[in-house]
Amino acid sequence: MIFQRGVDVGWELPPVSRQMSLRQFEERHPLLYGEGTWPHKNIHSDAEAAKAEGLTEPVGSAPTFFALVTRAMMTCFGAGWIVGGKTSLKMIKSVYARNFVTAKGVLREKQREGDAVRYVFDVWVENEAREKVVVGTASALVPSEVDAQ
Amino acid sequence: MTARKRVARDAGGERTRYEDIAIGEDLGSIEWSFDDAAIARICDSDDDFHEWYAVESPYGGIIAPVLIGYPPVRMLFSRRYNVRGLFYWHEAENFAPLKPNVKYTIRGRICDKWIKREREFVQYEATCYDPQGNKVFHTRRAHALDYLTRDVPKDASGIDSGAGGRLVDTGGKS
Repeated sequence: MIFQRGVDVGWELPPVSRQMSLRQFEERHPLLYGEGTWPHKNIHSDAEAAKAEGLTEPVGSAPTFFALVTRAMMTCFGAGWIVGGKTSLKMIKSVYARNFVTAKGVLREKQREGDAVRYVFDVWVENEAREKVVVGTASALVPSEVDAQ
Repeated sequence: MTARKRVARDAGGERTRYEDIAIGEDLGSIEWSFDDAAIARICDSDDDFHEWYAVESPYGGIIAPVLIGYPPVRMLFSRRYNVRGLFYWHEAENFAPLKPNVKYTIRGRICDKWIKREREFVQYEATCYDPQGNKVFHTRRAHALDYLTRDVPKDASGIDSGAGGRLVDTGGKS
């Protein structure tokens, strides 16, 4: 793990980036829900379907971008993420197939919870123009007896 | 130029209207499981790879990324309401690792709805339990019913459908 106990407020999560693509938008629903269980033409994959909903073009599925945050948390915390991890994430701007997105996070506080310490991060996902598309918090629970502030 | 209209119906039938959403309504339950291949698919789709997802974990065998729990909860909601809209907010707490080939039970309810900046929102929550009745994860989510604001007439026919991804209901109302 990159994370080490005792890091101070202000410590940064490793950034996780991804180039989006229409192919990813198209393949996501069949991959995760099963072929044919979701309309083939949908707001993520089809310009006409997106425009019918008032969108200018197909948009990415929000969990795709939340996954960049959860990947960073898993990479840093492992078991402290899998058992006791929390997220609160809000999609505030659409992501399109042409966008390059990066998840980032900064340690906001450490909270003692019993014999463990919760590491709470302000997290966000931004596009290539540094515009935030997702904002929120993520935290992991790390067994510790020494580093609560 | 065609006048803008919100979608009122699609291949899945009439879209759910804000007025028809009942706060507190039980969404029932579903039984849900996934296999190793499903883990590989979400890792591929989300570009999310880790040794514990593919080789071995400290929990005995591989586990899944926590967001594998997104689709079944969406389907629990879709089974009752035809809401396409846009996914807006997601809150989750992980209590235990998600393991393949385990028969989980997910139960949910509508917990709120509101109007903000002329858009209609619905919030629902769900809890996933293992076969022993232990909590595995809990989630709350909010969707905007439409991308277009509520002053736009809701009278058009759409292509996409929020009724997608329906599961067979094996749990019935809880």
